[in-house]
Amino acid sequence: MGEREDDDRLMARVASGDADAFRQLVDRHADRVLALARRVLNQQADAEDVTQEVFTRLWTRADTYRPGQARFTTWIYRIVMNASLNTRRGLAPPASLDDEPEPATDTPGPDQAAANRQTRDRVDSAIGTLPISQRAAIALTASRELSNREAAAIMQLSVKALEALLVRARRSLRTQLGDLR
Amino acid sequence: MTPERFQTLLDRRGITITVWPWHDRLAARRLLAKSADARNRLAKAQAMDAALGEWASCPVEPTLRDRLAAIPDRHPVSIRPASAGHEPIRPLWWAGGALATASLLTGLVLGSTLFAPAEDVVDIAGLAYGDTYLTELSQ
Repeated sequence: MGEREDDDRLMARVASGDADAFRQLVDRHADRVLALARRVLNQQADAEDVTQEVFTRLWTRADTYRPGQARFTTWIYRIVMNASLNTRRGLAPPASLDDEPEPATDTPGPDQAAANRQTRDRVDSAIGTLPISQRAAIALTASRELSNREAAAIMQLSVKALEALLVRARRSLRTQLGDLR
Repeated sequence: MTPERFQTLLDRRGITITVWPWHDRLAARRLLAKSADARNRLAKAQAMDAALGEWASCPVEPTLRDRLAAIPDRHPVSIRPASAGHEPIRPLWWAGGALATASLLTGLVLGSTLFAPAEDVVDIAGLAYGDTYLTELSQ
C-alpha cells in the first residue's frame, strides 16, 4: 500500500517533468521490468531493448497513467507485455540459450554456481519450449509478487483463463524437468 | 480430495496452501496428513517454485541502468502542471441540479404561455414589458 502510494506520487512528479522521480522509479522497478521481458522473450538483448522502450514510454507518457484505475505495477507490466509481444512478432525463433549472456547473479562458490547454472539452464530450456502465453503466465506469477488476479489483469484475461495457462505450463514443465530436488 | 485434484490446485493456485479457499485448504491438509503421494507432490511443486523463482530474477546491469537514467536527457518533455492528468474526475453534481432547475423554469414558462388562456398570456407579457407592450398589443 505504501509502495503503491509512493509510486503514484512519483508518477505525478514524473508527469510534471521531474527526472529525479523518474530515476527513483527506474531504481525501484527496472529489475522486475527486465526480468519479465527477459522471461517472455527468452532473449537478453531484446529484453533490454524492451526495458528501455518501457521506461521511455513511462517518461514521455506519464500523463496517461491513472492512479485510480490500476496499480502502478499492473500498468507498467501491461506495457512490458505489449512491448514484448510486439517485439516477439518481429523476431526470428529464439537463438540457442548458449548464445545468451548469463544474467548477473550473486557470486556463490564454484560448486554451487555450477549447480545453479545447470538448474537455470534446464529451466530456461524447458520454459523456452512453452507457448508464449504460458511462458508469460509463468513469468508473471513465478516471483509470487503478483496475485493470479493481478497477473490476469496484466494479460487481459479472466482469472480462470490465466489459471488454465498455469496448469498447462506447470504440467509441461514437470514432464520436462522431472525431479528438481 | 484426490492427489490428482491436489496437484491441479498446486498448479493453479501455487504452493502457499494457506491462501487457498478454506474448503480446499481443509481438504488439502487432510490429504497431506494421510497421503505420502500428496506430500511428495507438494515437495516437488516447492522445488519447481524455487527454480522458477530463481529463473524469474534478472538484475539490471549497470550499463543498462545508466541508459535508463539518461532517458530524461535524451527525451526532453515539456513541463506540465504538477497535477496534469492526475486529477480525479469529479462528478459535476451541481451541473445536474442547474440543468434540472433550468428545465423546470423553461417548462413553467412554456406551459404558462402555450397552454394558458390568451388574456393570461398578455398579463404575463405585460409584467415583463409594462404598459407600452399592452398598449401596442391592444392597437
